[in-house]
Amino acid sequence: MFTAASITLIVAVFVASAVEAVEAFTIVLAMGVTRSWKAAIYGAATALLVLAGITGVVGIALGHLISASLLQFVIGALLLISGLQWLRKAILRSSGLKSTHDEDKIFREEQEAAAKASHQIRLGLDWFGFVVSFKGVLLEGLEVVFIVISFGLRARAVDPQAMLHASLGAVAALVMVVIAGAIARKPLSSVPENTMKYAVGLLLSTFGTFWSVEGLGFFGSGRESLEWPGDIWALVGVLATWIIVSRVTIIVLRMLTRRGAASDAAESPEVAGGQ
Amino acid sequence: MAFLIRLVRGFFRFWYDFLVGDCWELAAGVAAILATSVLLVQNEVVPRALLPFIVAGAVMLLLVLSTLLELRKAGAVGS
Repeated sequence: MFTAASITLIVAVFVASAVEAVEAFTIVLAMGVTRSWKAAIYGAATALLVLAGITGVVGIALGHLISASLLQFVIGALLLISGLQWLRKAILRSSGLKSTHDEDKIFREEQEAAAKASHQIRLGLDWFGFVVSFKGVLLEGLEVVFIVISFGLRARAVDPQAMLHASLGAVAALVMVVIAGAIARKPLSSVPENTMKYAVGLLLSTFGTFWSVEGLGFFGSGRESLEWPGDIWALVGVLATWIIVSRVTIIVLRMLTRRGAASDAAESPEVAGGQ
Repeated sequence: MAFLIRLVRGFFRFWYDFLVGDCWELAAGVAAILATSVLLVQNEVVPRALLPFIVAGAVMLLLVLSTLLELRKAGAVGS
């Protein structure tokens, strides 16, 4: 049965996984169109099998070997660092300090590289297409594996089948992206990927902050998790604060950028006049 | 052997890109904040009820500072 906790878990993992699935899909599509569909699909399928194996082995091992509060601390710290990286990039993109992610451009670059590469056949497959497709799906998928394991293990306290539900969220995202891509037959550039990345950054930073603080209890006298005021409801407060902090930062950065551009424009005529 | 070396190198590169990315200051800052928090918990310097606010506030300040650092690197702030 799906509870409120399991649905929240599935949605969180779904959003985070969809972003990575879009990026992996672009690479597989480029290999399929330029090299060979058979090699691209075999490469992607092999990577998915490896990812499923890693999720099972690492998830079970971590769940049994490490104490709950230490797991909270380690997972929280890793989520916090990766979440802050995502959030920082999203803030810089929104304030115009970093170029936005362009799937069309990435697709063209992958196509050009694939067209130049030599045609080597191994195991009956176009080897370049297979390897690039495999590596693309594996690398993007490893981030999904990390999110599934961290969210799944932590949510076991409120949802005994959390690992299964987290995996379900990731698989649903993959299926949705493949179906959307098969219908569109082109890179999914119309997907608001940067907005989704901002949302994922907010989610990872929120859960990372929450769990790393809870996990600090491992280092205390009782080795039990620290409690937030309001317990699980504190997550809402942490998320709201992250949204406010990030929005205010974007506004301040835009103002500073405009001011910097205006002062540069005011200085340039004087420089030109002096020459 | 060469395959194993590539595999190990790829493993570490993945974690480096995932955690450090293009801003090592963030990863180092979070590590410093959490290490300090561990010391605070072990020595019971700060009441436990205050720790969530201290850690969350420090991490949020770190993110803001890292974006301002990027602005300075880009030279968008008039000197």
